Parts: sequence; C-alpha cells; structure tokens
Amino acid sequence: MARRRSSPLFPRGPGVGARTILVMLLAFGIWFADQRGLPVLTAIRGSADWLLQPLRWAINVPGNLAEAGSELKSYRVLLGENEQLKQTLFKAQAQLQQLSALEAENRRIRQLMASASALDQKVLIAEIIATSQAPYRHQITLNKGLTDKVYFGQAIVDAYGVMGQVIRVNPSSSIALLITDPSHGIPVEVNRTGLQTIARGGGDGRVLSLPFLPGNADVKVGDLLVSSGLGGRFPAGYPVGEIFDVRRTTGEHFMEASAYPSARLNQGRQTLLVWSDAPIIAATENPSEAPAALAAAAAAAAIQLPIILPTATAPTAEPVPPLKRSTPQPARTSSAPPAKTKPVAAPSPAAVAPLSAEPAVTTEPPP
Amino acid sequence: MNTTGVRGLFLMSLLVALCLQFSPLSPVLSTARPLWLAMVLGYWALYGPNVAVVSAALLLGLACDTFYNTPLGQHVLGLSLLAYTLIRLRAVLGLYPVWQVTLLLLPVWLLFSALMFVLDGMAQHPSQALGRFLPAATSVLAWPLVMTVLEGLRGKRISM
Repeated sequence: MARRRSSPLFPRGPGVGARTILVMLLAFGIWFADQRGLPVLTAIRGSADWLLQPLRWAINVPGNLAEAGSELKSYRVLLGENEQLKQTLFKAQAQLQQLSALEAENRRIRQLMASASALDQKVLIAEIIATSQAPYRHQITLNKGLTDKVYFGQAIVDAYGVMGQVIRVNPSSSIALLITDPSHGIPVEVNRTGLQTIARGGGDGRVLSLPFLPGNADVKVGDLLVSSGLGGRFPAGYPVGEIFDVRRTTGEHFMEASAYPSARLNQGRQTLLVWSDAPIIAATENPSEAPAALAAAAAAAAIQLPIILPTATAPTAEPVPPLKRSTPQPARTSSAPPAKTKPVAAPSPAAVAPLSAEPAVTTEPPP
Repeated sequence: MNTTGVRGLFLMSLLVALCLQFSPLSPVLSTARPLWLAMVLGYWALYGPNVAVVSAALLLGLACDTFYNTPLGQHVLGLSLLAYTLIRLRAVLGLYPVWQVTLLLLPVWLLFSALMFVLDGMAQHPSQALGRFLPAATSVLAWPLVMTVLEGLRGKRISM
C-alpha cells in the first residue's frame, strides 16, 4: 500500500494489464471447466452461495416488511377469513374422504394391471428466496438444498400444477428451472384423450408450446395437460397447463398448440418439492451426493420393479409405439391410433431433461 | 477524504450495488434493471484512487455467477474486461463533463452486454436479446445518479 501511495502520478502502474489478463484467463478457464461439471467448481459455487446467504436475507427484507405490513388485518377480517377457511376445509375434507376411497380402488386396479405407481408422494415445502432475477433465464431459487436431501432433477409443484425441476443443488439452497424456460421440456398427456406429447417452454415466460403434435391429433382449446410421468422425472397426474391456441399450418406434418401453465409461476412464495417414485439415478450429479435418490430408488425397487425397468430402458428404445410398451397403460394406448404414435413416442432423454444440451442442466459425469 | 475512508466507501458502494443488482423486482422492471454492479465498478475504475478494481471484479463476478446460475467465470470475464477498459479510458474520459461521459459510456455497457450475450450462446443457453441489451440503455440513464452520489459521498464537486 505504501509503495502505491508514494507514486500517485501513476496510480495504475503497469501491473493492471497483466493482472487483468491473469484474471480473464482464470475466468475463461473456470468458465470452460464449469461446462463440463468439474466437482471443485461445484464446491466453490456451494461455498459462494453460502457466503451470499446474508445478502439474500438482506435483499428480501423490504419485501418481507411489506408482506408483514399487509398481513396486519383487523379482527373482523380475520374472523371472516377464518370462517371461510373452515368452510373450505370442510369441503376439502369431504372430498378427501371420497378421494381416499378412490385412491385405494385405483391402487387395487393398478396392482391388477401390474403397474404400481404410488399416489401419495413425499413432499417438502420450500420457500422461494429469489425468482428469476435475470429475465433471460426462467429459474427460481429455493431455500432447501442438499441438507434437506433435495436431488438433481427433482420436480417442484405448487397448489395448481407443475412448476419445474431442480437443476442445481447447493448445500443450503437449490435452483430450479421453470417449465416456461425455452430449454425445458416436460412429457405431458392431454387429459381428455390421453394423447402424449412434450410441452416446451415458450420463451417469453408465460406460455408453453407443444410443437410435436401430429396433424390429425385431437386437441382442442381448453384441453387440460397433465404430466404423464414418462421418463420418471416428473410425477404423473399433476396439471401442467391449459391449451388456449391450436395452429394448423397447411403443408406441415405437425400442428402446434400453445398452453398457459397451470402453476402460478410468478406468484406466491412457497412451492412443493416432490419426491418422485423412481428418480433417475444416472442424472444425479453424484450418487453419493444424492442419498435421497438412492434411498427412494432402493425403496421403490422392492415394490416397483416393473415400472423402474421400462423407465430405465426408455431412452435406448426410443420410438417404441405405445402398443408394444411393457407396462400396460390402456388409457393412453387405446385412444391413439398407430398412425399417431410416432411423434408421440416415449420421450427421448432430451425430452425428459431440458431440451438443449445445457451444461448446467445435464451434469451427468462425462464418460 | 483520506485513503481509509475511500476504501471503506469503495467496499460499501460495491455491497450496495450487489444489493441493487440482486434485489427482487417484477419481471418487467427486472428486464430494464441497470447494470448497477458494472456501473459502480466502472465508476471506481474511471475516477477512483488506487483501489483493487480488477480483484473486486473477480469476486463480484463469482457472486453474480452463483446468484444467476450462469457458468462460473462468465461475469468475471465481463466485469474484469469492463474494469480494464475503463482504467485505460480514464485519461481520455476524465477530460469530459458528466453528460458527455454518460453518452460515451454507452459503448462500454454495450460491450459488456454483448459479451454476456455471446457467452450465453456459447454455453448453449441462448438468452433473449432484450433482456441483455435493455440494461445497457437504462445504465446510461442511471449513470449520472451513480456518479453524483459517489462523487458527493467523496466530497467532490462535479461539473455537469
């Protein structure tokens, strides 16, 4: 310091250029290495994230204060709300009783069809601590991480539908890609007909696009899309979106549809992490780092061998027509005539993982 | 202001810039968010005394990459290049009044945004051009504010 202060005329000496080149070379090196998923860099990112925790807390203070202010309500309003909540709960419980009977029945029928699929899944509520700050990437940061056994590729949902999947797990936080991101694809089925396809993010943060619909597919405005569970990453049966536009281009083999996501992606501060029945172990960054995935898989293996095997082999046997699939799924097979099956085939690995070969997402260890 | 005070202001201003850069905003506002971090770092590169701007660019870049989940090193590259460019330009830009500097800095913000845009593309995650280049424009609008506040805190008089 004393040396620098003694030469105020040339405050930046010749060292700046060299230092900048050094820093830039280092930056380019780690940028290059990070695309290939170097474990050291994951550790660095984890510790940097840990160091940023106070900052995260600080920048959320104004929002939290505003929220706290808006939550101060009068006694009367609270009474009214309480009454309303009681009524809603009463209705929900009544429906739940029916649902549990239906669930039991469904399970029995599924057992008869030898396709076990657990309906009640383990979930964990996570708080959103940062929404997609950069508009060019639709992602959110959650306050649950490796310590809560969050794993790579885990699905997140809210009260209305599927929100996205976890693409990076830090020790105490995790980052999830929303389904509206252009590089994200989710296997869905049209609830009305059972037609299977893939919904990609529309890119503008508000819509989903379905680019792989056959020209004669039975899709209408207002159709509900639910997650099909193919590929094993997303649990089946959660609402994904609602179709609002179907476009047929003359001369094109495929028609295209657009849907609004069911989940409220830009609202709310809570989300649910869902533990899938058969997590894709190959996609986890490091099996030892994802004990939840292993434990869940081990537990699932005991009872769900029939469903794990097709999921594991799905990527290799790509365009299997649904009629030949080993797991009987009558709702899907019966509704789709063979002519439709080709573009609707079981999702390739690219469909299950986000669509482009994005290194942050596909962090499988290099062979 | 003595050296210790300036160094304290340097660190504090960067911390505030980090908060502004990361603070939650609605998606529309967030698209137009000025490059706070680049601007404050740029101010110190242009007008600062002898402070470690390039080292700060390294640390702040890592923070950005962690926060935005970009490949580690992307923002480090951008910020260090920006700091170096402005250090080289300080002899030239020091001669001009604030409003001219404000306009002359637009190419620098555009260079930073373009580098980020290209690196996004190279990392197989193409970004929306608007989300990358609109901040460069809003940074021009915000520069007089940054400059006035920081010069004022350092007890300097500035000529518009």
